[in-house]
Amino acid sequence: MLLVTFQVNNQHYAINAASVKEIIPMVNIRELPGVPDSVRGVFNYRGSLVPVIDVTRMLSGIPTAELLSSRIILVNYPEDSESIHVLGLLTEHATGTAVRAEETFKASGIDSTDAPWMGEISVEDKAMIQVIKIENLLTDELKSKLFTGSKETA
Amino acid sequence: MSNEIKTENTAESCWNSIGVWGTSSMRCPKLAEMTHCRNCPVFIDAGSDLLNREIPPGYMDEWTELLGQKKEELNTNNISIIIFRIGREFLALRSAIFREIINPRSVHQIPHRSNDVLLGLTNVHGELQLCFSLKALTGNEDAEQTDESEAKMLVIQSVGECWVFPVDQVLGVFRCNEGDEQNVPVTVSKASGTFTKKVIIYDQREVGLLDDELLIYTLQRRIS
Repeated sequence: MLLVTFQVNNQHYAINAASVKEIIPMVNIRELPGVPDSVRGVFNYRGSLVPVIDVTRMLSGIPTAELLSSRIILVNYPEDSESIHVLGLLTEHATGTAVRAEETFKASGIDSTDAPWMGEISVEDKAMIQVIKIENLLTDELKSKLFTGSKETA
Repeated sequence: MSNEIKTENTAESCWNSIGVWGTSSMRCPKLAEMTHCRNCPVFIDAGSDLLNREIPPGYMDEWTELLGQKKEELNTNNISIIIFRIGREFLALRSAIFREIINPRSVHQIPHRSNDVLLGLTNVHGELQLCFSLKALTGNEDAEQTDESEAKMLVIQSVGECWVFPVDQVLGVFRCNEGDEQNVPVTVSKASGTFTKKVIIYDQREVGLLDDELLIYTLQRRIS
């Protein structure tokens, strides 16, 4: 499995590359008042507004630093079986990819009902990479807030 | 991370001292295993560390503007053509069938065989090749003679044979998209002796893209 890797707090995380649409540098993001902290805002992506989730903030509480290595990973986010949205994930150290075999993945073994996006951990070459399950990234409440009205499919 | 410290201090430019770009007689013990510094994690980390700096001013604005624009669709269905001129008419052939374009040279008539279409034989790199008049073939005979200083000869390679066509001017190689092509008006394409497959608008001119297969087929019939 090809993974797009990033880091939060020096911990390695990854997203399955199959769901990645494009990786773009940090852009000016318009902040939205009244949304949860994990939503950084929206930006104009090729003429349509795409919401950006600050993954660093979601996982560690600290907003993503404005560095050249901080990038927005655009993923095809399946809201439900019918509609797919483009969602931006703001991450730090999004500079590489990794190939990990399926059998290297192990369940973390720790209950993570508060963080349903936490996927399995791949252990190989001393480095542990935890996969983020993007389909569980947004709570139902947040989902309904982010994708109201914009029912376009990617 | 421990790697970062290593990159910043001890290994700041180990590739320049004991690595492949180094001049000293000392060599990195890892080099034998890595073959080249670019395979070494120290070098890779140093490279990605370059990205861990602040975003230069204007960078984000530039990308914001760039990504806000609609993406230009790249048309991959384009073909390469060579446009040339005969008389007043602009014609084109697929670049793929061209062997070369040469300066005009004398054409030797073949007794009892030469006619308005088959001009004769011409010498291309020491080999005699048949030379044909596209002017006569495309029914463009009445075109007035123009300046001959730009005249060239097209050498076409098709079905294992060489065909030479004198033209008045070669404009060059161009790319044309499928969308740029227009179908030839029915009245023209049905007329006998027309090899024009498509009409391409180039530089506000109508350029007739010739059907090379039909052209060569017709020529083969003519000489057999």
